[in-house]
Amino acid sequence: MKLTLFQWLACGSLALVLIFELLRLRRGGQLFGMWLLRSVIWLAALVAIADPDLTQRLARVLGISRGADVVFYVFVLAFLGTSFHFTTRHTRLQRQLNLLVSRLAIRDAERGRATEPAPREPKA
Amino acid sequence: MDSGVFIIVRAFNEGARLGASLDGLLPRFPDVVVVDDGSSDDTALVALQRPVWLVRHAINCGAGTALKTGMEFALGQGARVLVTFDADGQHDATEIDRVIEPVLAGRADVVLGSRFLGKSERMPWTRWLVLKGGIAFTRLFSRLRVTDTHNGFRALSAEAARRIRLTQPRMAYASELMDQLRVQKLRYCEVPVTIRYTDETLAKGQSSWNALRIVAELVVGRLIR
Repeated sequence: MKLTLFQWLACGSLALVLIFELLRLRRGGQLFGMWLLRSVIWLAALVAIADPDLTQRLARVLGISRGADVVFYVFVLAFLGTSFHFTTRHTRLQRQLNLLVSRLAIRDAERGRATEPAPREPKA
Repeated sequence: MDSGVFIIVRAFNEGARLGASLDGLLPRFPDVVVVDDGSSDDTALVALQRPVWLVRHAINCGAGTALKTGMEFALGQGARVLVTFDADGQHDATEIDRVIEPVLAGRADVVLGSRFLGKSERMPWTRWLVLKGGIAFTRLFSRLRVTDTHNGFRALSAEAARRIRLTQPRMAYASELMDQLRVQKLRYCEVPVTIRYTDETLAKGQSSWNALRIVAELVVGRLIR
């Protein structure tokens, strides 16, 4: 199997990313589940680019005509999932922020004063 | 005189109109809470020139959050009846007695002002159409037989204000409040009120297209708990 220049560049970059992920795992301080998810995505991308026939074979197994369609459908599902994830996070964060703003506002409530009457003009 | 009636006035960039609204309220209702929702104009200054409570949001959080803040503050001050009142002069302070009467008499936990039972001055036909759609939406989803929706003129007993759970930060809170009437099994009634539309309030107020945004916020809000 002869790789094209693009495949070399893309697979090389993805291999570097995977090495970086492994180093990050050794350093610790992150959730293993999130690390695994990221690593699986990079690895899947590397394999799909290195061997495009693999997605074609997967497409046939799934009853989809073309490998490119498999990639497209996966991206659509991933996009929807990611959008919902970030919408949820954004909404929850907004609620927390609003609660904080509200509590601070109540703590710092001020009482206004009655307007003092304007000084009268001295009679000429 | 400590009547226990607290008027909650939400204000966002209402410096030009707030003073007149407060001057209409203050002679009869000494307990007024102005919630300045992160205004960039002189709204806070106008409020502080009068004997009212000023609760200031550091940033604009939306009408729903402002109402929650006002309710929480008023309850903390010992409110028995809470009235929500617009800052822009659309509501008539002389109608407050009529709005709070069912709560004071113990006949209702929540009183909703209805412009369709009362009067609407200079309401554009597009607003009329959107409101009628909103009423149909409320009747369908909240299963409440109401004649108006998204009317900011209401009265709540302290108990009702404690029980109502609002999560919607912006205008969709009004629909959520209707849902809560059913969920919390609160007794409610409608009373006729007057809404005055002016060129200024129409220019600044909600766009009729906001109805779509409100529906989207409600859907997302129901998915995310």
